[in-house]
Amino acid sequence: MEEMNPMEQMCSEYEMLKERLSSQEIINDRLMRETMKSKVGSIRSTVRFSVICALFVMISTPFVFHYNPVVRASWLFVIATELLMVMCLFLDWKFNHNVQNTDLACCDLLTFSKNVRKLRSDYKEWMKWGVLLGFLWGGWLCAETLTHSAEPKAALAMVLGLSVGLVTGCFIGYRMDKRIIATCDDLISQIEG
Amino acid sequence: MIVLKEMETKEQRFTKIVGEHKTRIYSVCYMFSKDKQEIEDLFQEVLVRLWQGFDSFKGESAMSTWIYRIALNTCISSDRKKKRIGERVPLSVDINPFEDTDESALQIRQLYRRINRLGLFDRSIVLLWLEGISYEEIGEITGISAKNVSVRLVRIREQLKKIN
Repeated sequence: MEEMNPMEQMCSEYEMLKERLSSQEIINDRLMRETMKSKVGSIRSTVRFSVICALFVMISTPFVFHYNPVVRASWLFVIATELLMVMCLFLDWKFNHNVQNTDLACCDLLTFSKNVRKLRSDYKEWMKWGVLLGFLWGGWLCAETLTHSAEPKAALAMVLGLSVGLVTGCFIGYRMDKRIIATCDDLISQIEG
Repeated sequence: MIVLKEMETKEQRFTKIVGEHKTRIYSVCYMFSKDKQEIEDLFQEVLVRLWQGFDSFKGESAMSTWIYRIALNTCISSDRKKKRIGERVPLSVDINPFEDTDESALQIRQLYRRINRLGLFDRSIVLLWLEGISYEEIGEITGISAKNVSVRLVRIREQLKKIN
């Protein structure tokens, strides 16, 4: 007996799956309610939380760096820090917007893989500049602290803590970035294969 | 009051559309999952993406094309390790394509195994082809030409023959 073509076989197996599913409800009221709630729930609350956090950090920056006797950083440093934070927030929003953007989900598979490729290069670029800016900012803060601090011993301890924090932060960031890039690579190779 | 009425209409419309395409969405989620829970997670994720993009759907492509794009892209890009946001709502199904043991379930699993041997892109093409979608529309969903779709399908057929 002649063997069935695998594609024909798959067709008949797929028909079975469809037949099995046709008798199933699958969706229910609770599922639909939960789905429709998601937009208002997650996105708005995340944005609200981020804005509140950003405002809190920006307002407290002068008190942490300028009015704090251990640091006593210059206003120039405080303004640069605020600007840096605004830039980080913007880039963070941009990346998240790109990831969550429904256009990413609406485009065809090849465009989707191109978007993933773009995201990958954005992350790589951001990592490069992020580490550089982080070290520059950290170095500047150390210099400001050591120059203007009213309490030299506390300043030294702070510089030490800051250095450890900076290196740890960069390491964690690097690991996260590597993971995202690996996921992107995996997706690209699976799609463009 | 008018706004509320529009919201109701939109929700009803969405529910109706999901109802019409639920088996297709389920099939896609099944082929990209490893167990029943993953199907439920993916199905819910697809619905959320559909709902979030519902307002931006302008009818430039067929509704089924739009739904397939979202379903496939979501299933491909979903981060399975990520903790899910929100509650998992069980689907109203009394079948488990991964564990049922009757004859048709075994055959469906055979189909699952075959499809899962393919890469994600080819898996998507085969799924769409099995659904009876035209080469042009498959091309529209995947981003390749109709001719390329047919070439890919021939290659997939050969690949599956070798695997068999």
